[in-house]
Amino acid sequence: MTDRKNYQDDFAYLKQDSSGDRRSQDPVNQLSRLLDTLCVEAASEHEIVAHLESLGYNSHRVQQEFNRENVFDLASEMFRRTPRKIREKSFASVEGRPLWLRHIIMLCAIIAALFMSGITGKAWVILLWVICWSFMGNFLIGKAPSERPESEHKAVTGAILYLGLFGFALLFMLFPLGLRELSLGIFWWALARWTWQPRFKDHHKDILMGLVPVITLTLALLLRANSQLIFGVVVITALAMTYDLLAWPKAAIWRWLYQKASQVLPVALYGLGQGLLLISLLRQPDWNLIGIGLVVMMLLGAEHLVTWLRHMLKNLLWDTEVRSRRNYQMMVWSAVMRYALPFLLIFVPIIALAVRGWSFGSLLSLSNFALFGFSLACALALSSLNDATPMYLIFLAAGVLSLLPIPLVLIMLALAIALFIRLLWHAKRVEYYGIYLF
Amino acid sequence: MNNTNKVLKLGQTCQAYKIASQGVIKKLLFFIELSLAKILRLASQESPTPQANLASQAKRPTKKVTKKAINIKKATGFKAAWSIMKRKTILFAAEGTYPYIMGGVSTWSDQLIKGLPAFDFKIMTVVGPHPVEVAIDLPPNVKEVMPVHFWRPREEVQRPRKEHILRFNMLMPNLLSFSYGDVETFAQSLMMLARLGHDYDLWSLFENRSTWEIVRATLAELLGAAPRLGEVTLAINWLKSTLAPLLFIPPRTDVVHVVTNGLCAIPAYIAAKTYQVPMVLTEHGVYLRERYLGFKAENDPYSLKLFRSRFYETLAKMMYQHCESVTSVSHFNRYWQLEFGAAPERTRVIPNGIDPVSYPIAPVKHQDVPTIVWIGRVDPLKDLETLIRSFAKVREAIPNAKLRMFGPVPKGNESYHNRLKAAVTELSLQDSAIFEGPIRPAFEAYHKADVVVLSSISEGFPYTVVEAMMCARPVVSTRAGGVGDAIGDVGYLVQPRNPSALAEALVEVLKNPQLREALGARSRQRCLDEFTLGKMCARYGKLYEEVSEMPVHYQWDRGARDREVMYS
Repeated sequence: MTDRKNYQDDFAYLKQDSSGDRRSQDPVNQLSRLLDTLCVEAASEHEIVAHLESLGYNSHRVQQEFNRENVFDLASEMFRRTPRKIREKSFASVEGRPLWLRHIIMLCAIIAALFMSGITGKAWVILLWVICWSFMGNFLIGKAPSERPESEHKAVTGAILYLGLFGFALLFMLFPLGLRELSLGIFWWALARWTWQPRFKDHHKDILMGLVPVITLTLALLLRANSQLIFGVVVITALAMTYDLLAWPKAAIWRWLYQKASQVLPVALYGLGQGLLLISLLRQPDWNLIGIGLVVMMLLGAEHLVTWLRHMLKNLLWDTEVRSRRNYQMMVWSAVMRYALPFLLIFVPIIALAVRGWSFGSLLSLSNFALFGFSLACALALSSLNDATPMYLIFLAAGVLSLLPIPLVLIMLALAIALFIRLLWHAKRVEYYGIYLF
Repeated sequence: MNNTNKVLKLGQTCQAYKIASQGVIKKLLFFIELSLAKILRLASQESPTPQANLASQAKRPTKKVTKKAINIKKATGFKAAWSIMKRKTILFAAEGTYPYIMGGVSTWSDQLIKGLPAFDFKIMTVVGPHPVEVAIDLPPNVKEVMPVHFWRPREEVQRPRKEHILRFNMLMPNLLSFSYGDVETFAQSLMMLARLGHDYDLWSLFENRSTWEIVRATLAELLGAAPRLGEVTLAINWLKSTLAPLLFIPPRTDVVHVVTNGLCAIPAYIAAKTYQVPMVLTEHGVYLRERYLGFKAENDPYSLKLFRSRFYETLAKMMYQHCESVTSVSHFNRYWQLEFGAAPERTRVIPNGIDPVSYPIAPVKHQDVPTIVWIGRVDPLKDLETLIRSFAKVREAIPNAKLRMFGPVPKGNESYHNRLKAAVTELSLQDSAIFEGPIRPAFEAYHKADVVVLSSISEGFPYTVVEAMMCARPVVSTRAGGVGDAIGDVGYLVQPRNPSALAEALVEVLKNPQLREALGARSRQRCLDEFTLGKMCARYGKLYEEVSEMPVHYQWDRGARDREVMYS
């Protein structure tokens, strides 16, 4: 081992200090001490062989330095001499990745839709399609975008944008819609494209193009300009944005649409259910803006709380032995309750306002928004725990019910309760899908 | 081999008496059959590629094979003769390499397939869950490319019914027999599960309650204590994502060639045993050793590490025991194969080859100053720190000596590179030890050298050494991996991590021009004799022919079939 101490060893992570004169001076023991962590945690002697070879020990050297026939003999002896003492590791905590930008954009878009009377007349059809389409787009693009090469990501984005355009074209054929509705659709379309870019810094041009309708609309609303002119500018901008889309690879785009068609359908139904509920909420007489603010605030909070819930469930899963299963289930339920509590606290000020004599209709309207926000928080937790399909069905059922003459508060209450029960039930089976927590 | 030959010879003698007693019409029919087979074979031949020209010794057998076929026809009948005459198809099983990425094993596979135009290949590559695209121009003898995606369920399979669930539950304990190293039970369970998984979705079956309990019990037995829920979850998920996509029956071929003893070996094994065709295994590095090294970085809990290491050990043993031929690129790897149960008579070393045209002989003239060249990627395994420290000792003996280090710094190794630069500064070698960066074509680096050095602590079969030798440059290297196989007696080998020994050898070579020239000439000759691409392809071609004539040595035992009938 000449010159070994003269410079830093590349495999120092394997080694621990071996000072202490009273310990055995046998070369095998010395080497075992040097590679203590490895020897203690080795699954077999062959693992030690692999590491010894990677450290430059070969049979020739082993014969010279340790008087053993080969590396396998040496490793076998080291493995035999070292007692197994396993120090269990804990996993790194789950890093939250808040998607606040999408929620802020969602808020802006809903407000803009309100200003443009997007929920009145026939324009709600456009709004409904935009919501469905946004969900489909998020689903398609949300599958590990960073793992895709740039060309593939372009194909996916192209597929989503074409899907959106075809939807608009179909609606314009089926319903007699005008320039106002067209501009509303294109406005969403531009926003969606903006939010689905993988790296903002690489897409300055696209982002600027997407910003044009937003800025135009804002200025026009502030300056009270001619509405037809505003809508015209928005449509022209959208056409300019379509120009580069035509140059994208069509074959790859169609292939993506074909491959994902069956997977996208449930997501579209989820979007349909949620869109119908959102339109019902916006059609309520009062408190739309406050209600939307409430929903967005709850969603922003939910993202952080979901990270916390996942972390807690993971720790429970990791620290619990199979024998204490019943206690474990109770702990999981308590974790979910703690997740839900902050959302339920929203109802405290609503009740306080009721006590102060606010109108029943307004409070009901606000409660509907709060219940919708709570449902979305449960949906976020469920999808984070890999249980999306039942959630889709529940939202679709609630959306369809909202078309019937049933009080909206009852539908929202049923939706919130159904999703919360599903979350409780699903969370207690966390061991089956626990891998998604790590 | 000897026993096999004896059996064949006995069979031939018996059959020869039988043939002799047959009538004229039968003999006439035989010659018609044989002519037909020959015409068909000639029709299937294709124009040779440039690689085929290089592989001069890998030419398809014509007269020799025909003669051999006649002999076998006389001995064992038309079926055997036809099997010799017809163009053979190889199931080429790889893991994450050919034809989806360039370099390493992928380049080797490309060279081999292009160098063996007499064989057809069906490529089955185990890849990750995402869609992949072919990155290499496929030669005409590649007839099919099948990506097998692990970490995602198989597509186009039916939903399992109750009887399938019951059957799966009965097979699971057998599958988990790898935890106590029962190779046979494990191998049989793979076969039976593959038959189930070929048509039905195993992914969902791995998630059922019964599987959960079996895995939990297995982990408890392994650890000697109750496992935690997290450990069971991780183990079951790993098992599901790894095995469920691999358990199916691949298409039929004449020979199965597995190019790494890892996960791709599972479908390859299933194919070989289903169709009773011979199986060849080639290892560049030892997959098991690489898995052991990888465990450290993966930071999994001990229980999962134990679970997985038992799985890979049992898989490796199964392949070493069941393959008709186990090849490696160096003797260094062969030790591992023997350790894990490969029969010595079925193992052989087929070293990698390079194209002599791409590495022309370097001019005899010496550099202006004594120059040592190192080429490779800047990586801790290359132990450049030892090289730099040994070079400092060389400078004490030869003050004007120069060290030129060619090669890229891979992503993630920047800190190691900085440490090396600090060592250069510390030893005041800034003007003489130079990081030159990547160089293309590579032979130019060797032409700039008086001596080529390799200081690695771990190597498979080092191309750097062979390339330098092909350029007629002497090599001084550490005795790591298969370096000794490559250098033989035409270079210097020293202990790894010993700067003094390395410096001593370098000084000896640098100070003696006659020695350098002699070593260079011998190195070139050794390479031409042993390490050309043509030689490598010819050896594999011969191996395919040999194994396809051999009876499959390890029949899947009748007991396993009976058990399967019982379970179904």
